[in-house]
Amino acid sequence: MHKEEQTQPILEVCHLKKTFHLHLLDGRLIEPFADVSFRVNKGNFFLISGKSGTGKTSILKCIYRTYLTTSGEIWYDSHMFGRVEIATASEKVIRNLREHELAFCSQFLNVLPRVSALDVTAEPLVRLGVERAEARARARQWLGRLRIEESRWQASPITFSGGEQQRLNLARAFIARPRFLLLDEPTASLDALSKSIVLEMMSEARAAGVTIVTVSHDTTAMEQLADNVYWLQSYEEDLCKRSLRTPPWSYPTASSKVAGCSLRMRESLIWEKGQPILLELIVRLTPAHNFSCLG
Amino acid sequence: MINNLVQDLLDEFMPQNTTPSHEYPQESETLYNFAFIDEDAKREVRRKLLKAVALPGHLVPFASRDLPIARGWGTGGLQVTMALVEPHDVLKVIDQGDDESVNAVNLRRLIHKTTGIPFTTDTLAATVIQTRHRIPEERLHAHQILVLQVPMADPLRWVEPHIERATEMHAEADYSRMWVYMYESVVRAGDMDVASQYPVMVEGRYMMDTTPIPRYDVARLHMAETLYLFGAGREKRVYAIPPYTKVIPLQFEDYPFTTEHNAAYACAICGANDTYLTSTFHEAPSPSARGRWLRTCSDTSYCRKRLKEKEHLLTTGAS
Amino acid sequence: METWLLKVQHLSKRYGSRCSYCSTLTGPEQKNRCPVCGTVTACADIHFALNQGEVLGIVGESGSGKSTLMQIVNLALPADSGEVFYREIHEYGSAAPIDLLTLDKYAARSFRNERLGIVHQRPELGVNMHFSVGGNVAEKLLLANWRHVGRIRERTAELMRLTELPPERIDDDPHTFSGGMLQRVQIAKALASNPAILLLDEVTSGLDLSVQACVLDLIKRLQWELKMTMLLVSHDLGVIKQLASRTMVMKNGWVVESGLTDQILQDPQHPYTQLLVSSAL
Repeated sequence: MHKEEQTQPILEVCHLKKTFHLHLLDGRLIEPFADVSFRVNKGNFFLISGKSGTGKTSILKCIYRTYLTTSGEIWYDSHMFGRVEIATASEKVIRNLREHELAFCSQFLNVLPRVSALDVTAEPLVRLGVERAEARARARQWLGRLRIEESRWQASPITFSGGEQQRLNLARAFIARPRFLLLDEPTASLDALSKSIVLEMMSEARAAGVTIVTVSHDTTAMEQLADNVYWLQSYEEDLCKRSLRTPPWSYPTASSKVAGCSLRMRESLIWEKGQPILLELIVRLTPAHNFSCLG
Repeated sequence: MINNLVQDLLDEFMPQNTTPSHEYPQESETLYNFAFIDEDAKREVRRKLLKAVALPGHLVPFASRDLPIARGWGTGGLQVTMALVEPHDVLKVIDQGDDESVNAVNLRRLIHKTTGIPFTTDTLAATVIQTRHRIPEERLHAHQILVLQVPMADPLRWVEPHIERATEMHAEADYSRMWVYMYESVVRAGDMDVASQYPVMVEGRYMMDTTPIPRYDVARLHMAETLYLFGAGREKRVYAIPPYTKVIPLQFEDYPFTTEHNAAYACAICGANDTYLTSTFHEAPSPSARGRWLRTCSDTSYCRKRLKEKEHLLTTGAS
Repeated sequence: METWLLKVQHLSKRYGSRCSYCSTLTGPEQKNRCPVCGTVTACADIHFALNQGEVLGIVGESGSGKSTLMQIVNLALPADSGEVFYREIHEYGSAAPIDLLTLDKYAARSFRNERLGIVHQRPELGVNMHFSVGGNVAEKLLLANWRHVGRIRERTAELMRLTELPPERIDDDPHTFSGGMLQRVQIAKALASNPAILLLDEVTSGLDLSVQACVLDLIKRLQWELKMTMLLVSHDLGVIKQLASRTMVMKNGWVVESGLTDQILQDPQHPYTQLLVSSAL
């Protein structure tokens, strides 16, 4: 948000590439995205957007180190260890970061049997050392705010609908106020009212100093909050639109790859809110191979 | 003349007047070796006894010979005694403290027939004492040996029926199973449910079965002057407790080892209330009267001694 | 920064007369039995480190050598080669590491009793069915020279409460307990002496689903509350996912892949791991 904080970004992704080597499918290679680079400043709300299948979640998972990166660097400015390169960091460092600073809120709640919704929400606080009773009290506040019925709090989330599970997941993510939060499609399965509540929660968190990196294909809601938007465009979209269509809020900055193609080069940029920058996109195509879009 | 010849032949092969040897206590039976078993057997038993003394409480196997007495009637103790006695020894044999019980008499007869050594009922006068299931009341001295008869040698047989595993446990000093058995009996009954054959730890290393001596006598094993030797003939094991050895019974801090001693009961004959007592039922002298239980000292020779002392005091006091 | 509690290096265990071809002709891509001499490789050149307070999961199918590895770490089975280093961690630092495989029988037994706790797959391996539940827990304490019945029973009751067993059943016969409860008895027994490392060998295989969930929750809770270091062996990826923070995948005695659990499950690199993950329900 402020210019002086841009000197030291909290997260810096440099030329991140990921290749899946599927041995079970005769060694097929899949690249969910190619050559991603961006910077996130402290306290920012960073939105990664694009159509589904463009590898947005994969970027998040690479940052969280669920996926190993094939090449490229992810520099994270941590409180505990200073500037850490996540792709090559040891498992011990990653575990410590995940416990204390990084949080990842997945798209679907990982439902644990026999644990009540209240305890699921209170768990991150308990893990940080907060007293169970107090953690439960705070969890009750959050659940109430997210309009989950009080009578359902003692039930296991396995009985909840998709939207309720997602709200619970978000309560879990926000309750502990991590330093760096990765959100995967937070408003995907929510109705309008819940969506607005969640957006309110996100802006509150940002005001409290949490750096948020979100993945969403629902840009209309997020774009008011986002400081920066990173748009991932699929290869097909690029093929269709040779001439650049430049909607004011979207700019192609990286392209997702389809199997079998070699790397394309293009310029990438980040659209700054309030300062639209026009740029010509140079696209160089390699000889066409068999394109099959794997989404 | 022919009659004389025939008579001589008959006399030679069928001697008429053979006096039974037990009527002549100074002669020993010439068909047997001294103390019945041969010298090699005695040597083997003595060597095994030396090993047993070197490892207090450890069970040493030995080749248990066949004896005219059946297994289970004291053959182990008997072999130890036979290996040790010399012509100058004085022997005492007791069974449950009693010199005149059937088993004691039988054993004494056999030893006497084969050795001819003198016997005594006075504990302090004997040099070797063979006993079944009791330790004499009077304190024994360093020149005496107590030989105990053992029915079952291994203290772990209650908790580990397999002999290989039990041997391993002894070798590794892993007695936790026995301790758990003790714990369980304390929890179930408030006290260890083992009355006799109480397990003890010898010098903190081996767990030993104290033959069926009552709990009363277990304390006599600890730091004693005399040598204790245990022989199990059927099990083919010997073990020993040398003088001044620490013998501690298994106990818990809040459930210490207790004996059967009850100062309220006294012997009906000599009036002692600090000895181990046995109850015997005395038949009614006449059909109209009733029989009754009497408590008497288990150690009969000690009881008689005390009685004689009391009488002596009375007579000297009266005179 | 390293806070490893247990470090295993070059650990190998083979059954049979070894030959020079054993290590080259066996492996994850081949079988675990040498075609030349018939030697079966149970563990081959295993390295891993277990940090304090973490749960390391070992996944593998039958024949992968994970149970053998567990038995070697439990000092119940001798290894052919390699070292198993252990060091005590205190607040002010860590002690010098000792190689557990060089300990003699007595030292190994006392170490196993004081510092390790093992929970087996089948309760009858870990619970002595001839003694009561209290007696089983007392066995470990008595081996550690506790000699006060009252204190032993207090500790047993505490452990039973911790593992959600009814304390009034302390003197009951183990035959009257169900499978899940017997697993809890095993866990209580393993925790009796406050061990440094808890070894869990397929603890939930063979239990009913609801019971499985209860036992898993219990183990999770114990890990939270006691910050217990655990080595967890399982062939069930769901169990690993719930409990383990790091995972090792074994095949034919070799460690095929190791890393953070979510990375192994979502981004497996080795073909065998990919096969396992795709086969999970």
